[in-house]
Amino acid sequence: MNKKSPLEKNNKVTAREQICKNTKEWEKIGESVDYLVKTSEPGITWRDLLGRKDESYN
Amino acid sequence: MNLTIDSTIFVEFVVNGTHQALCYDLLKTVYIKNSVFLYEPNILLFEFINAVDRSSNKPENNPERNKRMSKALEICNKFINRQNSYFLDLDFKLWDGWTKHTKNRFWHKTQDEIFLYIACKNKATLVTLDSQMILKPRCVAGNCKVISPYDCLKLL
Repeated sequence: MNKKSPLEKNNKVTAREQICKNTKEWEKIGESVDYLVKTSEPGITWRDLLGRKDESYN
Repeated sequence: MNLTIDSTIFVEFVVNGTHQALCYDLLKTVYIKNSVFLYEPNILLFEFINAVDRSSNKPENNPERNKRMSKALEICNKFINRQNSYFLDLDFKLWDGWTKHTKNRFWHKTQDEIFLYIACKNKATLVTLDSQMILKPRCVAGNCKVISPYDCLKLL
């Protein structure tokens, strides 16, 4: 019979633990975003950067 | 909840635009929540990195430009490695079919179709800042649910 070792049991991450982990990871993302926003050219839009035009399919 | 977030949201998230704070709040909520499944086409990464590169007029090999690229890659990797995120490959034949289907080879129209298709196939809601996609949410796989980041935040 395959019993789980205590280590395997401990590796089971609960939903709450995952949310805590994601929240901590977000701090790093938030810092990167702040840097990119501060160093981007003023007045630039997503339309300028993606080359999408405001036109319909037809 | 299944979501696909198109390039407009990710790009606005890192530029000093009108909807930056809204897109930041949306992506933060999506990233942290365990119950949101994210289905993204791989092309998103290409578009995102390119947009970050073009959002600053620094010359090549400028230290700030290199730092910006490394920050953009960090963000991409975090989303790739997030639990419940799926970055999906594209089939070239399908892509070629789309460009013929739309009777033109305008890059931005093909991009729209890719995001709509990925959302449709994964029964996901597509989030975009592009009003044209909200008004005409159809692609070769059918119609899908397309909403603004504001409406998405209300659902989360």
